[in-house]
Amino acid sequence: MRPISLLIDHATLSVGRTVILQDDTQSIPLEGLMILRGRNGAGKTTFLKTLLGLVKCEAGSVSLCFVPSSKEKPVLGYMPQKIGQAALMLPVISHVMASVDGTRWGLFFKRSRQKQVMELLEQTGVSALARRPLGVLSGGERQRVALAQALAAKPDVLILDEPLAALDQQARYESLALFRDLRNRLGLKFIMTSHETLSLQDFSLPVQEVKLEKGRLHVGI
Amino acid sequence: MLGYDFMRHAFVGCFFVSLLAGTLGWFMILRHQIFAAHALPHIGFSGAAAAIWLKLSPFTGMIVSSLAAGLFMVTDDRKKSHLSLPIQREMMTGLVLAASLGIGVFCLFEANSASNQATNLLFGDVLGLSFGTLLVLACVTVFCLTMLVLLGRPLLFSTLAPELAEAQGVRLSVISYGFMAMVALASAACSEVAGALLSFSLMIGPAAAALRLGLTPVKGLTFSVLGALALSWGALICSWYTDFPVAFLIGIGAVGLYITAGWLRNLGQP
Repeated sequence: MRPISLLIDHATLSVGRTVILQDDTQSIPLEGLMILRGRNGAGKTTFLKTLLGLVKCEAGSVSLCFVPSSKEKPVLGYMPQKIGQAALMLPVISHVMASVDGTRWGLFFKRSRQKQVMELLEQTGVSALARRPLGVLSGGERQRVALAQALAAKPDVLILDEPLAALDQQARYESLALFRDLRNRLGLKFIMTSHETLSLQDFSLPVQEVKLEKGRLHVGI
Repeated sequence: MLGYDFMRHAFVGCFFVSLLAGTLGWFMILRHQIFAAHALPHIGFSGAAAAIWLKLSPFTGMIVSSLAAGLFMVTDDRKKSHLSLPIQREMMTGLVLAASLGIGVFCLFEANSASNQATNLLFGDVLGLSFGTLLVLACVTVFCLTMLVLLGRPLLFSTLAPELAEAQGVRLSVISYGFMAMVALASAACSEVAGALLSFSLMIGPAAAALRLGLTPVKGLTFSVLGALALSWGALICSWYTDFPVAFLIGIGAVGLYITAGWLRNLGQP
């Protein structure tokens, strides 16, 4: 479990007229779970996409790095806000299998991947649903499938965009318990956006709360 | 039946077209590009009409116009969010379709062409496939399937989880352009067999049935190709004995296949 830091280096970032970061510089060590907060439209999703390298800063940079710094970058997994909307008729196992080595050229059928996919589904607690079409699953179950997809790249950090939105109290509790288990088993770190007030004392997860406001990322709100 | 050159050519042509339609149609449904599958053969019709006017081969016109339109339809993909993308694509497809049909009518008017040529373009002329056309169909099939083999994994990944795929380094615009180029070529090839109006049946019918059965990608693609082959060869055989038009039989067969798949799925459910 190598230490990882969120590094903001003279970063200026905006979306439309909203200024997300204005020449902000800081280094924040990642612990267990970093919760990114901010009002609606503050640019939380854009900030996450900048971490993933999908959006570029106008100046400076925002990145995740190992400490002490090395050329090697942490592998990032991502679960977007809108999940489980494509190809609802395909079985769950096909969705996760597509994510395993999905960036490489070539054909997609290889029997050896099936074992790996079942392990991923096992880790997120939905292996029993492997043969069912994605479309018949509940929101919470689809989220676990999306989590298995994000885990396929064997990430060091999982970036989750509003993973608790649209979940009831029980499903939220189960999701947080799953994050804790993944951290304990795989040594994963999490960065997630959330609007919800969470009672995290039962989860024995180190939690950092940060907030995007007035062109800065404020730590320890 | 197989003693005649034109029938042998028709069977070979249907084989190539089924390989293309079965595989690409399956991906088109998953990528929410069914409207494009409907529009591209119509756009190909306009290209063929323009080719007649310019005294070129209609098939060449079909390929060029479908390819140009297909690439134009995905031009804006990069700038749009994943949520607005399907709507943007449909608007673009509708506009290109309407404009190209107008151009097609104009070209046929200017060419002062005989109406049977327009009928062949609209409803296909599978029994009139020349050896030269078969060679072009073979080249298109080999090219598209090679591309599909190369792009297979990132294409499926970006189809099922576009945002995750992009985050992991898949270049969505390259995949979109590459896929649309394959689809444009395939739809021109399908139009040769089933015509501009009915090639949609061959591209979407078997693939839709495969997806309705909830099959995994490998099984689904296999089912889709075999379904397209059964439809096109079945239509040829029925047409030989009944004299019904091949395109009509393919259209009816595709609906039948889809209904049967739903019935089978219901039977398999508790």
